[in-house]
Order: sequence, then C-alpha cells, then structure tokens
Amino acid sequence: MSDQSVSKASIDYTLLSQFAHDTRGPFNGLLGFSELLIKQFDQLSAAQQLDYLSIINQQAIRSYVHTQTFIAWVKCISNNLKILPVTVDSGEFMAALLKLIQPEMSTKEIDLQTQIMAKTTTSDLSVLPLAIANLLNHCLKYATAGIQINLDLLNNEGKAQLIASCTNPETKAMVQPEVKRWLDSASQNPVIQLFYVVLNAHQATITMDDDERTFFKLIW
Amino acid sequence: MSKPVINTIIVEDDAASVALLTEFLKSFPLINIIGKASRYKEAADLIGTLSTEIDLLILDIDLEGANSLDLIKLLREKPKTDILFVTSFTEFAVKAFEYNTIDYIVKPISFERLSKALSRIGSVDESTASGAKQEVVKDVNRLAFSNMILMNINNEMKFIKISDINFIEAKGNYTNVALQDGTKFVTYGLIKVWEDKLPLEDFFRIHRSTIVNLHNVLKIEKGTYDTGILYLKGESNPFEVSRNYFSIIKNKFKLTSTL
Repeated sequence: MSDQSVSKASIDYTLLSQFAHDTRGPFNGLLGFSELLIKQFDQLSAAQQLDYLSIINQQAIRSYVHTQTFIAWVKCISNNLKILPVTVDSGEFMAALLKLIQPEMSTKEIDLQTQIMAKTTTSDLSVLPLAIANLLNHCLKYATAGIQINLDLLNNEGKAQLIASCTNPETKAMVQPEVKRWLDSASQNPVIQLFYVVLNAHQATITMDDDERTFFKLIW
Repeated sequence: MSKPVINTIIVEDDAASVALLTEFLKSFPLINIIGKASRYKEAADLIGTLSTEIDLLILDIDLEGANSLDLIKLLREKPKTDILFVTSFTEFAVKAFEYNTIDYIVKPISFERLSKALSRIGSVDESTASGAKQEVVKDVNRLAFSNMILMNINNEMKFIKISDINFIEAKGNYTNVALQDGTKFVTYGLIKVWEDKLPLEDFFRIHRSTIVNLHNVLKIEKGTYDTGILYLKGESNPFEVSRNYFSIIKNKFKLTSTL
C-alpha cells in the first residue's frame, strides 16, 4: 500500500466514522421504541402506542435521510452520482424537502410557514431536497424550540430562490455561527461534501448574511 | 423513613433518546429523575444549582457540538455521583473510564444493556455506595421466575427452573431446596443469598429459615402469638410463619384482620 493510499484510507475512515455516529442516533429511538412496543403492547394505552409509533416514524425518516446521504456520497466519491436537474413542480419540490425535515421540526415544535411563489423549479428531486434538508436540519439543531421558521420558494428572474428565515434575530445569531462552522468543515464531513457537489451541479449559490433574520438564501 | 432513591440526571441532546431512557428507567422504581438537560450550559447550570445529591448522571458525549466530558469537572464536589455514558461515539470510551464511570453504552441502547449498566451502580466505590444504590444492584441482579439455574445435585450438574422451586430451608451454612416434584437437595450458602436472588413477586420469606413459592401456597391459618401456619402444595407438613413475617405478609398482600 502506498503512502498516498494509506492517507486516503485514513481520511475515508474519519468520514465513515462520522456517518456511523450520525446513524446510531436515529437507530437508538427506532430500535428502543419498537422494542418497548413489542414487549409492552398490551399494557400501553392507545395514546402511548401512537406516541411510540410517531417517534419510530420520525426516527425512520432521520435514518432514511442519513442512509440516502451516505449512498449519494459513496456514489459521488466513486464518480457514479448522476445529478440531473429537470423542471419540476415547486409544490412537489417543497413537499420532498418538508418530508425530510419533519422530524426535526416536530421535535423542536417549530411553527413552519411556507410560501411558494414559483410555479416550477429546476431541480434533481433525489439529491437537492436531501442536501438542503441536511443544511436545514443543522440549522434546526441550534434553533430555539417553539419558534416560527419561514421557508419561501420564489422565482427571481428565472432562477429559484429558497429563503430560510426566522422571526427572531437572537435565534439567527445563535444558529448562524454554528452553521458556518459546520459548512467550513467539509474535509471532515461527507454530508457537507455532498452538499457542495449538489450545489455545484445546480449552479447554485448560498448566502447567509442577507439580513438579521435569514438563516440562508439559496439561488439556483 | 423515606424510600431510598437514586437521584438521576439525564444529559442528552437528542429528544428521542431522552424519551427512550425515560421509558426504560420506569422499570427501575428506585431511579428518580430529578433533572434533564439537552445543552451544555443547561446541564452545567443544573449540576451547579441542585442542592440534592446526584447519585447518577446519564451523559451523552456530544451536546450540540460541546464535549460533555468537561461537565464531569463540575462534579468534583459531588464525588459520589456515578456516571453512565450513553453515546454514539465509540472513541471516548477509554477517556470516559478515567472518571467515576459505571458503564459506557454505545447507541443504539437496549433495555438489557441498560439493566446491565445499572447493576454496576455503586460498584465503582463500594465505600461510598448508598443503601439505595445497593438496592438497585440487588433488584437488577434478581432472577426472573422463568429463568433456569445450574445446580449441583448429588454430584450431577442439573438445570433447575426457578418456577419449579417449592421452598427453601436454611440449615446453618447450607440450604435445603425442595422442588415441586418432590426432589430435595442441599446447596452450600446462606438463605440470604437466595432471598436476594429470587424474584420478589414470586417468593417470600416466611421465617428466618424458610422461603416459599407464593404460587404454591394453599392457605395460611392463624397460629399462636400472631404467628401463622402455612400450607404448601405437595407438602404434608405445614410451615411456621413467624410473627414479623406474618405481619409483613398481611401488609403486603392486604389480608384482612379475620386471621
């Protein structure tokens, strides 16, 4: 094994460790609450059963996001990721995105307001919502529980513009440094590597300093 | 006297993991959750301001980017606190055991794994283990009614079902074990060992020298001086229930005063 390949293996291991860590979280709830349901089903009330099932569903979605991200990243580093932006209905694009961020929204009891002002958008529905969901989920991680978040999809001179913002400047001040730090750590984080690959394929740009309430603005 | 409890704090930033731990811990009545925190600062404030002694700290390593190992420094004035790590990180295990750590569980966590970890409460420093901690250890280590144990019976190793035990009698440093099919054998060890191991819901001590399988009790008659006379399925001779244990039985099983 050459020095170069040893070094590459070491980098890949770090990235894989990151994935392993991110995956264990949702599997904790997925396995734990399904175990509780199996063992205590008859003793649980209908409301408790529903609570447990809701948690399992949310953890399954989180797990799905991690797995899809991992698969896309592996395809990416092996030059097999095909990103094909096509014209899609904006409502369909937003629905795909919301599905992936639903668990974090629900956990933090976020009041999500969406606005779709563009009829269509040019997007690869399999990876762009996934990449944006990872970014949004990271924003939500540091957001205060119970706040209102606005997600607006606009049409700006033929380009799609997605603006994620909150109503509270303090939340933005809390979230932004963490998200910037996260986006700067691409060398250690496959999720961010994939994020930039997907952005480049869509010729997208991201800004984060537009105003005191905007988490980020994505234009593609 | 108030019931001994294990005052416990959960520090975890993943809401589903907190919910899961809370549900699992409901099976351990002595575990008393006195606080939860999801962020480093919140946890530091909680630990710093609590006047109650913290017996157990259940800790995730990564708290939204902050390393919770630093929190342990705040516990220096609370040396009796046991720490149980529940985390997605594998790489901090060695470092974690530099502290008062009873276990390091890598997610996903199972009920059995948590039980095993809790059985170590108080084992890090025996001299500082409170009575409550020892109670938890005892409860977690108890056998279940459906368990099997391997016993030496007349120089042959045989599996015995706990549910097949009819009664146990103390004979000095030995105990006589009687099974429901009439088999009797002698084992080395005090009756206290059996008392601490047998499932509480299924076996009961009725005398300093006797433990019986509650499922096989036919009836208890009133004896002299507030004692009882207990008849057990398969045994022609009744057993004496001492005054103290008869009183406990009456309270525990809410017998009326007609006896």
